[in-house]
Amino acid sequence: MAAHHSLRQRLLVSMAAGFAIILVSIAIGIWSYARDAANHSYDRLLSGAAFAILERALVTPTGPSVEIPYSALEMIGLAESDRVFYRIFTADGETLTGSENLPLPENYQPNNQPEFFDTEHSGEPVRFLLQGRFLAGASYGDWIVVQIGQTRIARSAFAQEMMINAMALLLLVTVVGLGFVWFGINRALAPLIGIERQLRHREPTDFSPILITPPREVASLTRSINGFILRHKKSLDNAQVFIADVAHQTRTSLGALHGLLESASRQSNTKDTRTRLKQAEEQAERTIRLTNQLLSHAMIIHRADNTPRERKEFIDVIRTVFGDIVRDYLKYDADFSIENELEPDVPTFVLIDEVGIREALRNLIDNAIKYGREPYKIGIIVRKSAETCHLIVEDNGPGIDAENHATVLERFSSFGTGSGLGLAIVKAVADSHDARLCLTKSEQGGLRVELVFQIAGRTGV
Amino acid sequence: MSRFSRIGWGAVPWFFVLLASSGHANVQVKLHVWSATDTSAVEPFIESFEASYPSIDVVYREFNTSELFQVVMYNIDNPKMEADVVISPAMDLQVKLVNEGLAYRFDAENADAIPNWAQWRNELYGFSFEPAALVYNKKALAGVKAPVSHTDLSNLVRDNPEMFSGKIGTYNIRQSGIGYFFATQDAIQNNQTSRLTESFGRAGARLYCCSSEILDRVATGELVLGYNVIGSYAIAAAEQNPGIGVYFLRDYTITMSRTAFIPNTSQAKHQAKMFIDFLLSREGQQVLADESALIPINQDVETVLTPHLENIPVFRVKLGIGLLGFQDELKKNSFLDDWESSILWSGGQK
Amino acid sequence: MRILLIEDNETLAETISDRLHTDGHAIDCESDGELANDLLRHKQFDLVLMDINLPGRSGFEILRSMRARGDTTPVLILTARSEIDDRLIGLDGGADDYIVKPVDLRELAARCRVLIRRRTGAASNEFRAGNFVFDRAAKTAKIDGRDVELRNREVQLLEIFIGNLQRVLTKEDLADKVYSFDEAPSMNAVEQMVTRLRKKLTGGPIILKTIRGLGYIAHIAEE
Repeated sequence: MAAHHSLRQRLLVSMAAGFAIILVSIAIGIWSYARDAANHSYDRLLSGAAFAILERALVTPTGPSVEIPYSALEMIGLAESDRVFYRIFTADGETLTGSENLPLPENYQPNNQPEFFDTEHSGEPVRFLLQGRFLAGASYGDWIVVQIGQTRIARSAFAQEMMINAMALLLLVTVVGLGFVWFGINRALAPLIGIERQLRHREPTDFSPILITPPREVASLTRSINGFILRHKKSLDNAQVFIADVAHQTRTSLGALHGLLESASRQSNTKDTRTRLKQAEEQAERTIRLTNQLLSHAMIIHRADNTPRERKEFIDVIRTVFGDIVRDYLKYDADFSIENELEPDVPTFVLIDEVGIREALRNLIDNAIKYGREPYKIGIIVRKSAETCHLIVEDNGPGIDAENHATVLERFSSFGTGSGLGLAIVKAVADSHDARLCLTKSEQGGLRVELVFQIAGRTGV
Repeated sequence: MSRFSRIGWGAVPWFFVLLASSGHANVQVKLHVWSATDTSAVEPFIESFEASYPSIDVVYREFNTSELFQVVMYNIDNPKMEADVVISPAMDLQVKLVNEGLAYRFDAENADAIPNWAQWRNELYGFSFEPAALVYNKKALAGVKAPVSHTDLSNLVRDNPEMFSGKIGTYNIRQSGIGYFFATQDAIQNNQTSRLTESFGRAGARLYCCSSEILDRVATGELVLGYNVIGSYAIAAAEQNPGIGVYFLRDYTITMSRTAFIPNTSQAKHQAKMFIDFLLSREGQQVLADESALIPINQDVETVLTPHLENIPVFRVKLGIGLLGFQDELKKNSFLDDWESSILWSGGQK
Repeated sequence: MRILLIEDNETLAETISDRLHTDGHAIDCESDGELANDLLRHKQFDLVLMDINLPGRSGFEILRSMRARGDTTPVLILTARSEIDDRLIGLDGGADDYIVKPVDLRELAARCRVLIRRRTGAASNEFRAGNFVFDRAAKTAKIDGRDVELRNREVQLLEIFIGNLQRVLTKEDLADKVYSFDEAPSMNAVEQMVTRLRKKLTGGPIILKTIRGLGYIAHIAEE
């Protein structure tokens, strides 16, 4: 169950990280927006006040003058906690009224557009507005400029409040979003948990496929598990059938041997005893062969599941294995041959289990010797096409009729005196190599067995 | 040990020494309170404060509102300025000082008990409730029908020149900060104010620096009517002298609050804060109500004023930037010029 | 010939012992690996037949210690493991041959003969098989006492075949051993030489069998 946890946590953490990134970027955006909005709102107060003041500017006989309307400062006073500074001056810098020491931006030229700037003044950050008006009189024409500054307390508070409200909303959305994510993860994992539950509560003998209507994403997993269950069941079934077969075959065989020996011991004359003993010996030989083949078959099937195949040069393996097998058949009058149709000096690699190939060849040759008659003619041909490598074994024996080709590949399907395992072993080897097995009639009228292997690529495994 | 000093306008300063906490062994901290408040009005409060905080010696200096403003303003950057607490009834001047960045910001303990209009920026705290009152000599005006509004008052003065000629007293607003403050608030509140001023001028109104001077003269009958006298002083004076009547016009009554702040230059900010905290505390407000002439701002404290202000629209002047309007030099000059030309129109006296 | 049989299954040991005895060999039987190892240290045998799974000490270990001492006595492994892996048992590992149980006694006897011949052929100057005698020193071969005319290269070839009975030899193997580097033999020449030698050995037990596409294998026909 730890795996479930970690998957869930991993999803949640990555989603939370995503949310956090979004949250931070939105927060930055909101902060800049809130500052702009605060400035915008309070700048209007300053503008309004400046406008009201400039409206009262007039030219008197003694020069320009201005009367600050009560409402102008009241208006700015709407920002309750902020301090206010102002100065009204002419283009040549003469202060008409207000604080003389207010900071000005460099190279300020009076004009009738409002100009805002932020600076530090009197120990606090202050936002200033400068706005001018051209006064035309009979004998006088000059700019009069109003400068109003306001500390940033209300603006900051406004921006902060906006920020806090927006963030609260965002956090709420995030929490709800993560809640949805959590819900979604659980929903998404539910089928997996369902599978896990089904498998956990299963009896060891229950090989039924997992019953679930899977979402598409989990379907392939379910299919794989079901496939595995099926293969496992098949393997177990095979093993059971095999054990039953083996038990049957060996018991029968040993029973016959025992019967013959018993009969031999009961014969009164020597000639009959010898005949029985001869038969018993033959039966013993068959039993040995049967046992060997049964074990060989089991071994091939076992190796197919457990032994990884190795990338080897095909012809080398065939030569070594064939040369080795031939030694056991020297006493027969047999013509063995290998015909290598591969290009010389171009190595052809195949993923091979050498033990398997040895067993397959040995059984094919054994069959040829067993069912054929002298002089035997057993030929091996190795050739290759675009992507496949062919191993052909031909003999001059009696061959097998085409309609029986399928059945002889099954266990204990012999038509003669044999165990019927030889070709089943070859089939198992072919299967374990993902090779195609094809039985036909050879040119000499015997059996022609062709195994088609996939050529392993340059990099091999 | 406390000292009270009063620096009058051109008067010889005098010292009032109070032997309160003698024999106290601890190191005494001196707390300089500069205030435009009659010493007699605050004395009981200061005694009470010193009783609560024996380690603090209050050194009290009394100023006229304008003087106080100028002294503080001119010492804006002077670290040697002694003031630890600045108190004045002229809200506009106080706002101007605070707006200049002079005040120390702190959270007063009892700020919640103070109405919003009477505090600003956590720097300036109002502690008293001060309506502008009309005072009169009861004997002189016996039988005269009381004016309802400012306009009625204007008509009354105009219609009875023989009764009021030379016998109306009000602030010389060029000299008195609080006088200027009341006058400008009148102008804002009532566009008929110039008529009233003119009728005062025609009646040869006399101008004074301080409420006390007006009250003294109304008491003696030298003046019949005193206009825009600070209400608390008026009520206190009326209690002392039954010949003085206190009256609030029914159309509106300008009400201000005496405010206090701690200058940034203060060397005893902690003690100053304790002083203001005590001033705003229930206990301090009760002392104001019971023992001093001042009227506490805390609405929950019963005051002598309560019966006077029933059913009268009270115009509470709000602390804030708006008060700077009439502190603009150009505007102030033009206002004073207008006012003077009205009040002196028929030879009113300074 | 003196043969040591190391086998812990008594019945099997007895039958093998009987069979080899009828072939005229002297058989010593040992069922414990440790004891067998001690025995091999002190006595010389002409052939060792041994099982792999033994009490005391495994067949592999016995074989390893024999070869480590430089004991070149031929070893024939009897194994019940059908998964013969050359790298484990392998002829490289020091064993000369192996045979898988259950054992066909006739096959076993034949293998034993081959190994013994190989050894005597290499060890002594005279190699005998049935009516065939080859004197290595004199470089003469006789069948039924009649001399077989052999050229120098044919003698070399015969020596190679006798030394590699029942082993597949490619034409290249033969050419490398018979010709020197500068002679650059053609494969045809090798074929012709083998054909000639085969003809000359007709009537004898030595059979040179051709496996087309692979090479030659020499074996001795059963008497």
